[in-house]
Amino acid sequence: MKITYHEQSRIFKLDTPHTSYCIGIVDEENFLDMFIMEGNFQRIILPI
Amino acid sequence: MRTGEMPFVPSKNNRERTGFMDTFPMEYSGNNLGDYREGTLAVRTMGGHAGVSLTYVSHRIYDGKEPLEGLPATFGDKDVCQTLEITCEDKVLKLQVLLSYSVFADTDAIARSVRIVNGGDEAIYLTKVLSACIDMDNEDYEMMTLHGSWARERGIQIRPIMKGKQSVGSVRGESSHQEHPFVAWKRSSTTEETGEIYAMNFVYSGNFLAQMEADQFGFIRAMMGIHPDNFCWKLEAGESFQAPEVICMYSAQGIGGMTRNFHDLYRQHLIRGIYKDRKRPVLINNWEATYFDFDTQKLLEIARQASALGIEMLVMDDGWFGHRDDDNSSLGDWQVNETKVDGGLKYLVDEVNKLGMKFGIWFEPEMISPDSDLYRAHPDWAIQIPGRTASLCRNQYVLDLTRQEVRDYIYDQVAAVLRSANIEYVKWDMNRPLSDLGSYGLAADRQGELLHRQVLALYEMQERLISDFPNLLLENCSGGGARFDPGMLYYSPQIWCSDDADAIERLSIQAGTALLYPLSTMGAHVADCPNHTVGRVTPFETRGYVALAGTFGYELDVTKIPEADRNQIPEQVAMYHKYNDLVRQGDYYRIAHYAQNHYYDCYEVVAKDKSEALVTYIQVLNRPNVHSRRIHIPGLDPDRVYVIENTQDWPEMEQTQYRGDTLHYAGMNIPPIFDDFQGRLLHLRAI
Repeated sequence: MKITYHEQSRIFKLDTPHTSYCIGIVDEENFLDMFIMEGNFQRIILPI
Repeated sequence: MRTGEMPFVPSKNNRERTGFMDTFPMEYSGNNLGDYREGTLAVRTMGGHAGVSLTYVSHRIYDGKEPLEGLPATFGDKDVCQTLEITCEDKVLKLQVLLSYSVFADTDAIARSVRIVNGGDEAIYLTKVLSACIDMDNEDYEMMTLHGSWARERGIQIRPIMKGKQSVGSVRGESSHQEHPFVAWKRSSTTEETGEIYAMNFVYSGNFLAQMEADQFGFIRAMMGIHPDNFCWKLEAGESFQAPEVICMYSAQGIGGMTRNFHDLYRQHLIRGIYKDRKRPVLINNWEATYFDFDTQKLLEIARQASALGIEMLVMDDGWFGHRDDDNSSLGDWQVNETKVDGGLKYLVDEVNKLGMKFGIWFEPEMISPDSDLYRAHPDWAIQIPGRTASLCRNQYVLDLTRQEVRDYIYDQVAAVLRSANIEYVKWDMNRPLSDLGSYGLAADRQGELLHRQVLALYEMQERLISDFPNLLLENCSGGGARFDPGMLYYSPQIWCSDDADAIERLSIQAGTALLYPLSTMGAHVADCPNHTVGRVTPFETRGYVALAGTFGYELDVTKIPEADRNQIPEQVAMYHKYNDLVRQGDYYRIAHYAQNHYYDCYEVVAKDKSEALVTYIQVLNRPNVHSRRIHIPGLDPDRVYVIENTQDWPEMEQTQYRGDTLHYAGMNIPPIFDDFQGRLLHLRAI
């Protein structure tokens, strides 16, 4: 269980025991982008 | 993120801004500014305009999880839970939207909620506030939902996600018998134990919308929240609105993995109180035994026999108050009818306690009968539209609990009864949906708040009840299972599953309920036969096996049932005590569902440490000229050997030994059983 924010890629990563959920901040206007929710979260290596 | 392809982001290609808004996977979507998919938030300004769009402002990450004001929600200590709160804003409206996400160390869930803060200098109307939105690629997903009706709640339905919108919802003021605040989407190849599935479950007990939308580009948008029909919330400057919580779940271990995730989450992070982890007393309820026709002596006769058989609590159901001898009167008049309860309630409870039994009682606090002293004194306390004759249902109205004086009056009546005797259980019923939405207590521009305020009022009353009576076992009920949802589980550790207690109908009802909710939460009883709802006659033994998958109890007149049935009760009660820790705390696996195969049902509960398992096998219909039936038993430790015990009519199987992997992959044969509606229980113990 861990929530992290990666400044460089502007991505939040929410880890549960077996899944990840990522939210990105996009473009100059700071739109919020939901872009992944799945298992095997070790595959998701930040920065993307 | 497809920001490097057409239509690009607005900073690169603002001439196609609507194209961006309409394809971008929004974390929380707005309305009327270019995203033509269904939005999660909609507003109307005092000027009559409706546009809203949200962008990131700031965030905070903290350990633990803050409660949601006035609402049920999951909880977690700082060492097992972490929360992200993202603040977004519509800069024109000065409307802040706080998106909250909590993760847990012990389960694969994300709890999401939304709070809206009006930072502007004038009021704004919120016309839609959903709690969660997930935009993603459609990979040929199927949509899974729960549907039903009174007495046949929560049947599982799976359908392809087609282009356009498909939704389930309730506009009845309760989560409802008909549809359920749940939606899942899975690959068509996903099975019970393999493959991917995503799900949402709403921690709320009123109107809801759960919708899947497949758009023109092959993307899907899943969303869940308070149904926008008849919803309009006036948010004054500086005020906030808290939307309820949605549980987002993902499993790569199939539907069963999703189920066990939900069970773990709700057992550890939603259900509260002293009975959270405790075995419940075996109760006997007099409803199907007597209906309204009872008195003290009749109840004591039942209690005496029940006590001698090992039953631990008597529950006095509807009919003990006012002059209620049928369902046409007295709701709201919560004074004991001492013509029926002769000698008074305290005498009855004391006599039951002397038998070594606890005592429980039924209420329907949210209702008012036209034939009641309360209605004669306060006709305006019923929900109604001025100038219209309000619509009756079960010859009763719904009390307007948005009014503090109504809540206080009813609560005080209920509390006075509970304080008058040693009452240790309450069944809180709610037997009609809302209609004729109007309140004499709300201003004209706040009538659209009635439905949500009514749910908040219900939560406030139940919170007050369990705070004032912390040792009370509260069981919620709504014409059976019309309000079996995570919201109510926050207040009561168990909910009456359905008014249909027929063992065969219950297989489907309980399978659909257990798709999301732990077996410890499912009110399940051995009921009278022929069954009062469907007329079916099933063996007493089978009724016991099916009720064992819930809280367990009896719904019959123990003084009138056949002696052979009565003689089974001590053995059934012992069976409950032997297996309930396992049933309540273990991992649940669906093995076969008779709604799909039409002949048999099979499910299993495995201890967390895999030291034992209990397999329930129900042969619904027998067939001629068949061999034994192979079943595969998942969830066991593949390297341990299990001995089969408690095989009743199968002495040849008693003490048979198998490895866990053998039982899973090769399976075991269930010998043919003669006759319909036969049940068997197999206890597997690791050696």
